[in-house]
Amino acid sequence: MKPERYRFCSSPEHGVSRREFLGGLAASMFWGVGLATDNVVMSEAQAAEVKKQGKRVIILYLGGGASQLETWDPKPGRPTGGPFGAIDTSAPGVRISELLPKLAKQMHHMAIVRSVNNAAMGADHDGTGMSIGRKKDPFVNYPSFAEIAAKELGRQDVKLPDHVELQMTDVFRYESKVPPSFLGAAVQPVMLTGGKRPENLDRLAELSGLDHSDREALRSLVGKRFERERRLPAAQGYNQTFQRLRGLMSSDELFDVDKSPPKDLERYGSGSLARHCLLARRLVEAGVSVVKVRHTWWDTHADNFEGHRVLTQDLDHALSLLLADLHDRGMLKDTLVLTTSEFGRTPAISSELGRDHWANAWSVTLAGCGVPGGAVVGATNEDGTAVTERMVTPADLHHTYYRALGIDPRKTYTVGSRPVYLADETGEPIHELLP
Amino acid sequence: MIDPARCKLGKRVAGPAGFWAAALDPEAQRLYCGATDFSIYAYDARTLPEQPSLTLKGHRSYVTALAFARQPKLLVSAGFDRQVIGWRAGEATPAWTAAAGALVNQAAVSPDGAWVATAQDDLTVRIWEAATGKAVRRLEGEHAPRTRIGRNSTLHSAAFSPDGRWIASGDRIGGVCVRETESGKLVHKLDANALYSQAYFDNPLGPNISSEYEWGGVRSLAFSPDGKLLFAGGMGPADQNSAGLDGLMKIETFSLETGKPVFGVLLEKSKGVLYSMAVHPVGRWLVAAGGGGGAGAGGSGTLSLWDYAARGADGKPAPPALFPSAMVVRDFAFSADGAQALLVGMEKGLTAGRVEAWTLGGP
Repeated sequence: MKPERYRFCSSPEHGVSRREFLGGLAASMFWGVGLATDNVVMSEAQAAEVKKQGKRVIILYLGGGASQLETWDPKPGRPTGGPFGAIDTSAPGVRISELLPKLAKQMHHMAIVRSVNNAAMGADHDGTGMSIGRKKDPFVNYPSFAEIAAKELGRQDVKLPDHVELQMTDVFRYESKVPPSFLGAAVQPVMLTGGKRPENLDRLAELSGLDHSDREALRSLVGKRFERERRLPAAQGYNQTFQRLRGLMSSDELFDVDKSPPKDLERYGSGSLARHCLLARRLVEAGVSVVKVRHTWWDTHADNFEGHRVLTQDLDHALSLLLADLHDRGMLKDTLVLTTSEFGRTPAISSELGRDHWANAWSVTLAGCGVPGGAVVGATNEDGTAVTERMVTPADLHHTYYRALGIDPRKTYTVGSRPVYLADETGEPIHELLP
Repeated sequence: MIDPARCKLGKRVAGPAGFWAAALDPEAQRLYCGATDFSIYAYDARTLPEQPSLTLKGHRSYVTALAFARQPKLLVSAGFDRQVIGWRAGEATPAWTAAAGALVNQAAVSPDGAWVATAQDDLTVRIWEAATGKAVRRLEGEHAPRTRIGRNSTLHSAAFSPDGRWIASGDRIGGVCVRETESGKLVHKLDANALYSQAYFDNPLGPNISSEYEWGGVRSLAFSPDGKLLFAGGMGPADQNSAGLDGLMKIETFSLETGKPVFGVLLEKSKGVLYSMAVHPVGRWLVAAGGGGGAGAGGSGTLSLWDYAARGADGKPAPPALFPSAMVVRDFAFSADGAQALLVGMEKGLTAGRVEAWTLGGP
């Protein structure tokens, strides 16, 4: 497979402006309105119950495609296995790459699916198939799992966005280049690029705190009277939006990872993935439902082993701390933590010591929300070139994710007159991974 | 003896696996190739027959480092299995085995042929007595332990000075330390940062912010015969939009009298990493080889012959003469008479190791 050429864009429009940030947040308050406008009618059954449960999701997205052979499905000693060995883990009988020694000690919290096959998605260099859990459709812009989860888990009682995405750069973020899904911009993430809080969130310098409060009191008085008299969902939505914005402005330090307790900063260190995992933990603690953390340059078409020696340090350190912290805080039972990519990497090793894109047999992990720790689903052959047990498709994964979160994957949205299941109807949940 | 105008590829042979490291037994004229199937293959360097004459088995991972010692005549191998193994010349069973304690990235033999140094993933240079496998020195503490974005560094390369008094080591982020071999005392700390690419280091997003892209390092080192210059090889600034080794191969040169950089050269149209360098036994030619940058105009790999003392009309160093190789070159050894460079590497994958014999010039 030819290496995909990635372009990096550092133009200002990829930053987070106050207008974008607040605009996105405001939009997220108007699902009902927005969806009605888009002619999408939701089934509301169970949604309230799910929200009450306070389920959350953290997705670690290893952009470019992490090698399953250097992470979750090592094949030491085989021609395809590369130079690294396998090590025992805290889950009896489960061995992972020696490049992940810290995660080996957290394996009792994690499950591995070693038999993912998304090759049927065709040329899926942008990872959309894994993201939406089904084949692309030229007539329907399907929402991603993260967007649906944000919609289903979003909590109006929390004065924060429902869906936040953390990244260092947007090199691998193809979704930003495609139109919003049929759920609209409302469920798209608030993007934080570069590990910093949203810019321009501060109160205007010329406005005193007292002035700000007075203005808010006046706006609230007028808004509530408007809402009482009109009884429109839109009016109610506006008031909730302003309440959330006020909450956001008063808790904006939450978004600044450097404001974390010194002990946490020391433990997580300076790496971008670790800092983002710390921020993700803080965000879900504060009530954000979905946090996606992007980590990049796993696309090791050359020097794969040097690349993975470097990149797995980040994954090993960050994810092991995140899992331990969530567990210690009693949050792992309600927080689904995933690792995923666009695809895995070829078992065959090129002369450049690279591994290319490979969707036929690779691995993802799940943890939390009752997913049994130490479970391994599926298997590949001795060289990792094919799935030999329990092939799992992206649709199967999405069914499993939704079930773990207490969301019915067979629930439907109506797009035009067409019912659309949350998860593709070709899929089935992986029952072994569900509580 | 080196004449770029007469440099040409001679015989090529296919290996049973990818070749990562090379060393020559000059007396027996035997070329040893460290392979990715965990074996070491030996070939008659004069004839390069299709089949190796000897296969050494004892490693449990890629054999990434070979050095041939002369006191006694012994091959020392090391690899990603954290083992160092001594093999008597021409024998297929280990004379000794030692634990390196970390992945070994490269090895170098001292000029008197008595010691072998290993550049290791734990940031140490360990010096082994070739005869016994006894670890006699452990040099550590001078290289920065972390990369600029907080990852562990590693030592990619090591080389002895021609008189054996000094040993140089190169790390993942372009740091080079020159130390006294006997005492481990630091002589020079050199900055070959041009061999390290990290996007957004000087980042408008803030001082603690950087992207995850990080590639390069000092992959090869060589001293000039008079001990006054040190050459560091690797990859120059990379296109960080790329998904591979997209920079041109680069050589940085340092004066060991001043501890300052003297000049650097980029190898035109030769993308990838310079994995191996050595100064030719006769004359002032630096021979270097590497590859891995994909389908560059120079092919998959490059052999570079550089008269580093020559200057152009503008007073700048004359550019190296470059020869494309069809394989990604990982290492090379000079033939016993110095007439050839025996390059080892991979052509189409790990199952396609290659040896190429390049004639370097005339008599």
